[in-house]
Amino acid sequence: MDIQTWLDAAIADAKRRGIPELEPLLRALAKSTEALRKADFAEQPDAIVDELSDLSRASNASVGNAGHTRHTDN
Amino acid sequence: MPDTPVTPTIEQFGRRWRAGDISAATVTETCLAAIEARNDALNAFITVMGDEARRQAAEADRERAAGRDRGPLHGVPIAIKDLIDIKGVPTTAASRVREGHISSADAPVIAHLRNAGAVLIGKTNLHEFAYGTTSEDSAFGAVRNPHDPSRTPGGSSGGSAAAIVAGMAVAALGSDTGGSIRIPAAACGLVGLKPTYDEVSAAGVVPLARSFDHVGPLARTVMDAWLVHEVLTGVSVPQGIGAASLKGMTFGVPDSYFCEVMEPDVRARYDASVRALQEAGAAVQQVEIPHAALTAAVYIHIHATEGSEYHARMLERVPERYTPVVRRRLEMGRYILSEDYVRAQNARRVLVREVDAALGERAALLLPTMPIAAPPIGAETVSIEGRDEQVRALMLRCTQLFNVTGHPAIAMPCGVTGGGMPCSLQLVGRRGKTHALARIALAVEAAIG
Repeated sequence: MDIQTWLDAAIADAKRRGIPELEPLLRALAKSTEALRKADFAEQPDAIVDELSDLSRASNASVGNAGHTRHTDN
Repeated sequence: MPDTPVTPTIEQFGRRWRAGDISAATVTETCLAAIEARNDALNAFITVMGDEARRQAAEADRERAAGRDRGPLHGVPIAIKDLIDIKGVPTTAASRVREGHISSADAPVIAHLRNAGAVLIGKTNLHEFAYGTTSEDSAFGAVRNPHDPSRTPGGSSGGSAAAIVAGMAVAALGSDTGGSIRIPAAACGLVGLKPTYDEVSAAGVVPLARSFDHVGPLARTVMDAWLVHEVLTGVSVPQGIGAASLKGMTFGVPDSYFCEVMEPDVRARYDASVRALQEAGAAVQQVEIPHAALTAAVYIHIHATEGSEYHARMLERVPERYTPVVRRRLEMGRYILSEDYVRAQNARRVLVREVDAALGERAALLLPTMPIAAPPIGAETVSIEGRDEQVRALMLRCTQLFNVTGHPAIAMPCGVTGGGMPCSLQLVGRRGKTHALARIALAVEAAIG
């Protein structure tokens, strides 16, 4: 869905639900969404999954999930 | 300006307590007296646990007299942000939505504090459901900054910060989803530590955005913050740390984006801190985080989506019980498309790698915590060099990236503005290396005085 179509639908729905005061926030959000979509985040899906696994392993190995291990780094 | 704090630091208390010069009961009474004297004006506490605190303090004194020493937090009055469960006590999250709620169990971090012998003095006010940086949208009224009650103490853990500055607690727990420990620490002239993501359990803590939520301490010194942090991770008797040597240490300074918009007084204090570190033998290198300027866009698509998911049923059932500002923010999140949430998650991995790369072999990243001093309560914009800037965006600007990436970060005082409001320096360390970051912070604290 393109951003203008989404924004028009979101504003109309907010008005239908009795919260027209959402409009300025939705317009600001639309600008953020536009920036996000235009950004050149070059990323491959496989790399994302690998990165997630690495993040999880690194976090758990170094500090423990609830931190019951002592830190050994200096 | 606040009254001079009459409570000791954790380290000072420990030395005097073990020497028999002071009792836990005395310090607890001092905190309770400060609450009695100033809470009506500052609105720092929602629930004061006076009887329970007195009982815990007396027990600590009895244990010490009997030769039992539970470690550095034994007998220390600590305030708890009121979105963390304490068994038998309401967890309000500063919202009428949770009226009537009583916690059925301690959050793990509370259980750790009890095991360490801490005195739980009460539960502190916050921005409703932690969804804000000023602590002014609360069902219990706005928290006020003890340095200047017309200004915000920052948020969302504003009550925790105000309580320490006003001598109502020796240290406090907060939570940090976009800066909610570090921002009030900066606004109030304290140390605030956001650990590595998932290092401290967030179970029993009302969530804001689960993949960004961190639990950590606010305190008057780096050592105090470290000692509380260690207990929160489940270490029963935390050890002190030694300062790293600044000689030969290299800091990465990501000035681009983070230092582009700053109040002149805050910039001057930041620049002076960087010079002090260089004079102490540290090297400073400019580093780039290429997509830093897109942090807010990434952040809002994840943060608002996760927050709205948690609140969806309550927004349908009792929308009128939210404060208007927080209700609007939560409702906005319900309109984010799933495709944009996934885009933001993809971008998040890129940001993680970019912060890792900026750190490289360097000891830490060095940047301001907040580009402005604590703004007036109610201000939506501030003027910086003739241009109006959004308060909320500015307050989050230097902190929210490290909630997106999960890197540990610590805020510490670095002087005051010409108007006497605190300024703050932020250090960011490697993921999983909070201990190393704390040792560096200890050295930086000594160098910048």
